[in-house]
Amino acid sequence: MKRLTTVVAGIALLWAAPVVAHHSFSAEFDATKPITLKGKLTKMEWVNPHGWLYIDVTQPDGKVVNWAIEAGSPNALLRRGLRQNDFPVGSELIIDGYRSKNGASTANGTSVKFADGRNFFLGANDAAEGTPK
Amino acid sequence: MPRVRALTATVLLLAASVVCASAQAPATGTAAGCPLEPMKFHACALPKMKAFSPPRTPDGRPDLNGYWERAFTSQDIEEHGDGLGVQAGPSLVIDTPDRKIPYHPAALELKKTMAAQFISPLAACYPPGVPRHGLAPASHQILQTPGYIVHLLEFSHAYRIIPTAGGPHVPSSVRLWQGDARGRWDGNTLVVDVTNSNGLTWYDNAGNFHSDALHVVERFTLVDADTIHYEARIEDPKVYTRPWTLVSAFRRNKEPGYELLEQACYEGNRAVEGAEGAGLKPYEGVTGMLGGAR
Repeated sequence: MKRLTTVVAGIALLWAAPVVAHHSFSAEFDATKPITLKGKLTKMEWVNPHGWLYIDVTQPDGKVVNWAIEAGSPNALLRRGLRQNDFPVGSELIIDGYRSKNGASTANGTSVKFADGRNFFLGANDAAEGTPK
Repeated sequence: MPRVRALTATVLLLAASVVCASAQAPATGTAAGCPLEPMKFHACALPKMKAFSPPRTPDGRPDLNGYWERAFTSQDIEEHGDGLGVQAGPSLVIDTPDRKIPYHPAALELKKTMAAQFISPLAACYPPGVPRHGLAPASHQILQTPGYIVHLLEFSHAYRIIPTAGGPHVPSSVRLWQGDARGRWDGNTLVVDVTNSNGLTWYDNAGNFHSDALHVVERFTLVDADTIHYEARIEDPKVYTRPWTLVSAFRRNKEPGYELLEQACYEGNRAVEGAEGAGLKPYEGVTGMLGGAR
């Protein structure tokens, strides 16, 4: 049985990668509010223009909150090697991102880490994919 | 219900000061041996374009066929630093003294709050318009036939069909997201004259805008077999004090088996919900905000 994990808030270097999307995030999300979410996947929407991940996150007070995390487009995720079936319901995920400005349980995702250690850039990146081969 | 066991879920709010996404520039490296900074690229590419003898189609035109990736994105076509979801990048404007868009004073005031007031047209999955079609996300493909250039964009399945035999524009009463394009060949350069904009598109996510009086003259020229120099001269007297020019580039995507994928942009687009939740309104042009300009 796993134990409730405690994460010490401290200096953490957030995963940084080029994030370029078809819309601006700054009106909706807050660059001063990075967040790391850990929990079980309840739903993955492999949809355009941006995919969405929903995870149940248990807060330190025991309350479970379902978070919605905006991801890159399905084609961007696909070209990074991700597939829709990489996201079965119940997967344990660790997601980094930025919180929405309005305080809702919504974030703009930048990375996703799977229980097997695989780590992918999650954001909307149209620049890296565009690198000519 | 079992008590919180197994659990694991921990919300970690990092009290970090502003963390910007990246220090990387969006365009790295070179294209055709020229630096990827628009003004430097332009200066460097011009003599190469004149000297280059491009591969040709069976009807003798420079062969632009293939998959292409833009060298610069449309986050902000003026010089900008890193931000949330934005990488630092240079100005694409090459011919104004400060390399900024020469807005009229009232238009400049409007621009300052544009992106904070309105939902970016591209976020709502609308066609990008011109010249943003050449700067918008994901891969590009050019298909060339005698008499037509078809410029496909993966994003939102946007496309342009550009007749290369010239001809008159459609009547001014016709207003189009992508404008009305009339192409012609000027030596090795495809020149495209674009009018009839509906005034509802932006150049980028930063709210840089035009009105329905937009007139764009685009120039596509091969610098070498794998690089297109792209130039757009822009006029819009309702919004700018003078014509201005932006320069970008396309680099050939040579990945074997590469293809454009379906990107049905509007699948319950939650980005719009989010933008609305943040108080942004649908963009309906600049009518009423700029003394009658749409």
